[in-house]
Amino acid sequence: MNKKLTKKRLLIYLALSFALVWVPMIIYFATGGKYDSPMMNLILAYSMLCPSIAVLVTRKITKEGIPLIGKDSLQLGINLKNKRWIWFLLGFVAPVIYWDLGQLVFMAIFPETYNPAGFDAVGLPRIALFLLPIFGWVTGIVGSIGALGEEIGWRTYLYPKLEELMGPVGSVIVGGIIWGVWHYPAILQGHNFGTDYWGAPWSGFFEFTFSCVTMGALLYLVTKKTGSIWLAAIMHAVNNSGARAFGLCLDTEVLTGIWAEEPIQIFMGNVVLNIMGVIAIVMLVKMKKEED
Amino acid sequence: MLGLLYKDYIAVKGKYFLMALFGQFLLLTAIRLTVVDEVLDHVLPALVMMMLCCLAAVLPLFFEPSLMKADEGRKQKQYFLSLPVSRRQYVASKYIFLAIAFYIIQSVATFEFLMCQVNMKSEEMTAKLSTFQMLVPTFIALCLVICALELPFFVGMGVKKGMAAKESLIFIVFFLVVAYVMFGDLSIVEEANLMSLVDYFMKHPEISMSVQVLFPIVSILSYYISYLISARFFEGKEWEDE
Repeated sequence: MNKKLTKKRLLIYLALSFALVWVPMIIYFATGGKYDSPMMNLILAYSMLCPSIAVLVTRKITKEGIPLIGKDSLQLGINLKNKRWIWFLLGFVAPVIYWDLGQLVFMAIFPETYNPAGFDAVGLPRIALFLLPIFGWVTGIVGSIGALGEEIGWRTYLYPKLEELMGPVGSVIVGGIIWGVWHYPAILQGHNFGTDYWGAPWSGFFEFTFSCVTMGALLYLVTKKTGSIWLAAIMHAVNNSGARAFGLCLDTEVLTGIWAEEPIQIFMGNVVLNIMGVIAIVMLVKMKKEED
Repeated sequence: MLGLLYKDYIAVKGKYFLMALFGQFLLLTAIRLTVVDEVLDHVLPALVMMMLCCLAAVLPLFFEPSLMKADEGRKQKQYFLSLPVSRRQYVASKYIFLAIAFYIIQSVATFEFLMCQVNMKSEEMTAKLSTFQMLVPTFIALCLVICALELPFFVGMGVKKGMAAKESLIFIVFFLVVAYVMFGDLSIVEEANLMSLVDYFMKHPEISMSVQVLFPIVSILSYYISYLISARFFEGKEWEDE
């Protein structure tokens, strides 16, 4: 293993994936562009493709080759053999568990936030509550190209390279931080948290980065277990689709004090995700030991 | 498997397919640069978009004959014996190839609609465009179902009989349309247009959501069943040179 070469490849990859996203975003905001606009949606969609563009360019210029399937590749194949299908099945259920169970935990801690009228306000019949997770999956699969663009960059290139250098725990923590920092220009302008919240933008930065570490661990685990990037891409797309059944019955407006702040609420709602992320890290360490 | 997919890409002249999709981006950019803002915020560009996406979605339906024709000919038994994959995997490669084509079309459409939304000035038009966007996966799902119906004929019986089956399917649809025009309730057709369909979906989110969920699921299921049937046909097939 040539650590010097791995570091060089990582630096090129990171420089490209950050420059391709940060430069247009900074120019857009500096010229008066607003976050809540169709143009920003287009920029965000383009940004999601940048990590994979960075991977392709880095692999090309460092003569690493661009294998599509197999070890140290873009992992675009799907193989259900050797009980890998179980991981695909678990991966399909996981977003429902960590989002909806997370919302339920939130409602259990703050029962006053439960408001079924919120669901009626959307104009959907109650039966649609059961359709929402499936809706999330379908829209996730249909619009997975953006998430695939990100996952190819982070999970098939950044994380394995970092794992080579610092082991699974370091890879997940440093990789998660990098993934989170990559989003900062958008968060600064209102992505996920808005702009008017307690401790803005630092609390938003911290919360998002923390979620990236745990979510990144989970996505890296499923990528390693399935040997395919598709499940991570679809899980990522489902997260972005925001189709959370119990989220519609959650009225956070009734909360006061520190609990009324968006980053705190998101942190509380992510409790189950964070626990699953920690379990994923433990499993990654175990996997690494078995590999060695 | 990867080699087979690449061979199919060459067989269907995939380069031109990708160029056609890229051409749509160029066309959109040209429209943005040449057409005045007042026109851009009208329903017309959205309709053009919709038509372009639907045209692109139909393209893979024309791939089927080329996909199979490339492997047809003499010494077929020897050809399949020389492949490093099983007959079942060979059939899977055809299905995967078409699925990839549909996935690319859907992905390109997602970006094209985002580009189109940038041009929209009013919130109403942006909402309408989003509903249009929702109809594209539904249309692609429909094309996938058509593929699922036709592919077993192409795989199991060859290009000639496959084409005959495809033409029969078109004739059946044609005669059903003629029959409806002659005997059906035409008032529905007179009142129906794309905008009223969009308005209907905007007023009934539960139906819109059901369509978005059910169509892709049904199409993927039927595509998988079609693969199983084709694989069964193909595994039991006897070649002319046997």
